[in-house]
Amino acid sequence: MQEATFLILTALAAGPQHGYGIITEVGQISGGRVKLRAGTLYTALERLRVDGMIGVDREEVVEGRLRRYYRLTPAGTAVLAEEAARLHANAAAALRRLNPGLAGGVA
Amino acid sequence: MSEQAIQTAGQARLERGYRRILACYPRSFQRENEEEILAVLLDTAAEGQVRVGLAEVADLIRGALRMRLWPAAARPRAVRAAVTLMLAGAAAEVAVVFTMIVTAGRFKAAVAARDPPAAHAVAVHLGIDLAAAPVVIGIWLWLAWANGRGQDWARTGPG
Repeated sequence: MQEATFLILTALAAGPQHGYGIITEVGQISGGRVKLRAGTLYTALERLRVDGMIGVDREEVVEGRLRRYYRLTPAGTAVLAEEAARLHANAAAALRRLNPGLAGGVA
Repeated sequence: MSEQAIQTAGQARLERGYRRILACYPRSFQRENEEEILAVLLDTAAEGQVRVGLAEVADLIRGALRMRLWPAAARPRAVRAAVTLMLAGAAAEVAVVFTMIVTAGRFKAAVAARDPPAAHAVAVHLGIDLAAAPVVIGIWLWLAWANGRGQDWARTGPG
């Protein structure tokens, strides 16, 4: 899974978000490292929607502009949980090898 | 013009700029998402920005190409594979042209040294091949594009 996709799913894990909200959340989650652009975001959203990972939650019109809120589907939640566990296990293994002294200490 | 009027005019100009680029996206995307992505673009634009930035153009064009060449829309796996192979065909042709250009000089010199009468024919052949290459590359890309849009007839090849 690409990092942008992972971060988008993570942004939606706490609740439905609209496009601009996802960009803001992804910035926060990544500590300002990842600045999603609209083209990248919507390419990813389109793919995630077709693959059944996300769905449209609701639509609002704010100052004459359309806002569409997206939410994780159960399938999306499962995929995100699985990917997070995989990344976590990899990171834990890396830390164990880097610090053999701390047997299982960090993780 | 008042300051607010200038601001509104600037925003209208920026919006037109975004819409021109969004016209590259697949119809279905434009129909479903144009207003929505436009709102996001305007929200992320810098204060007082009136022109679409280069990085924004690159990002939007990349998105449009990706959607057209690798559409997510439930396409059968075979179609996706066909599109990928067509792009590979284009890439292979580019590699052939590159190799020809790089080696043409040495190749011609070798032929001229061993079989001078054949030198002219070799030069003509190389010229024809080089002239045809852009056409072949163009056909591959066009077929990939058409397939991405769901045109069944496009699942054939320039061979």
